[in-house]
Amino acid sequence: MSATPPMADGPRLTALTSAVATTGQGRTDFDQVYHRYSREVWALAYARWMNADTALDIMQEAFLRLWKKWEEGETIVNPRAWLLRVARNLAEDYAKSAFRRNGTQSPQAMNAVMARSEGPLDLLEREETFGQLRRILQQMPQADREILTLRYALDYETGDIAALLGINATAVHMRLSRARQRLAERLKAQGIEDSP
Amino acid sequence: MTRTPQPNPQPSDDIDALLRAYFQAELPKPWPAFRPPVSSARVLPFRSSQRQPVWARRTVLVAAALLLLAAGLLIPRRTATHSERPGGAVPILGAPSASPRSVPAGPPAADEPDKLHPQPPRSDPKNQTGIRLELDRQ
Repeated sequence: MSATPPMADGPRLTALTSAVATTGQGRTDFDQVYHRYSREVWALAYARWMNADTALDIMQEAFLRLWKKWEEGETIVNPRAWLLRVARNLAEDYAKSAFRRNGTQSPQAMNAVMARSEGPLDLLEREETFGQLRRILQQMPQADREILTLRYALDYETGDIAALLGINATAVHMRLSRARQRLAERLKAQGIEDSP
Repeated sequence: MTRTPQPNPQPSDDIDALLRAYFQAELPKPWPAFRPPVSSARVLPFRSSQRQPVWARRTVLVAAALLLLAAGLLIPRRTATHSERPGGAVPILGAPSASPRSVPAGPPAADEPDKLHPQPPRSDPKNQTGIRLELDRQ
């Protein structure tokens, strides 16, 4: 699945009247913002915690906060930058939250995260490979994980990643190349060479 | 002219496929839609979602005003008739028109005035009703 590449200028989330905010054009604008940026927000949160459900929670919380601001009539000129900043803060705060310490995901929900319609042996092998890959990714710098997530989860090109992270395209290319090389070495050391 | 370094294509093919498979598996499917919170700060808790028409709201307002007016007229009248009823209110002590009090038999309470030995009028200016009238007549 490839996401829509980000635009330089996203839609402006302007102050709206209360009548427009709940229905009509205002809601359509918000849905457009959600459709365009929610995967990016998820990707950054995922790169921080390497957990799809946690990233989803953080993404939804970020959009709920944006919704609240929107309802209050605040003008957010660049919702993309606002969302990414809030998501980063939420991801950092998540480490301290009671939500993480106590855990709110039921075992059934956690078991269903990786559930796929494959045979049990295939699934087991796949899970093992992905588990090793996840552990290796967790040992990598967060900046590299962000680039990898945007590249492979969202199919972003180098220029898109550079624009999103606010860094040079050459730097993105270098880091992507080094991250892949490092991954290949570590996977080879663990006996994983073929893709699942 | 600056050239961007290209990644080595040989080892990265497998890694690319593995990483793509991993991250695509991690991406939630289907992607959840945004659901705004049900309780909005702008909606007051006592206001229903479907607003009544203007005429209905005004009718309710007029009915409530009439009810309030009727209650205001009826309640003082009822209070007046209640106080005129014999034995309804405590009469003034020692007054000629006083009816016997409906108190249970037994020794008088400590704070109850003695009828056989009336006390001289108190200096309390508020207590000017019963005893003072009785002394004036005597």
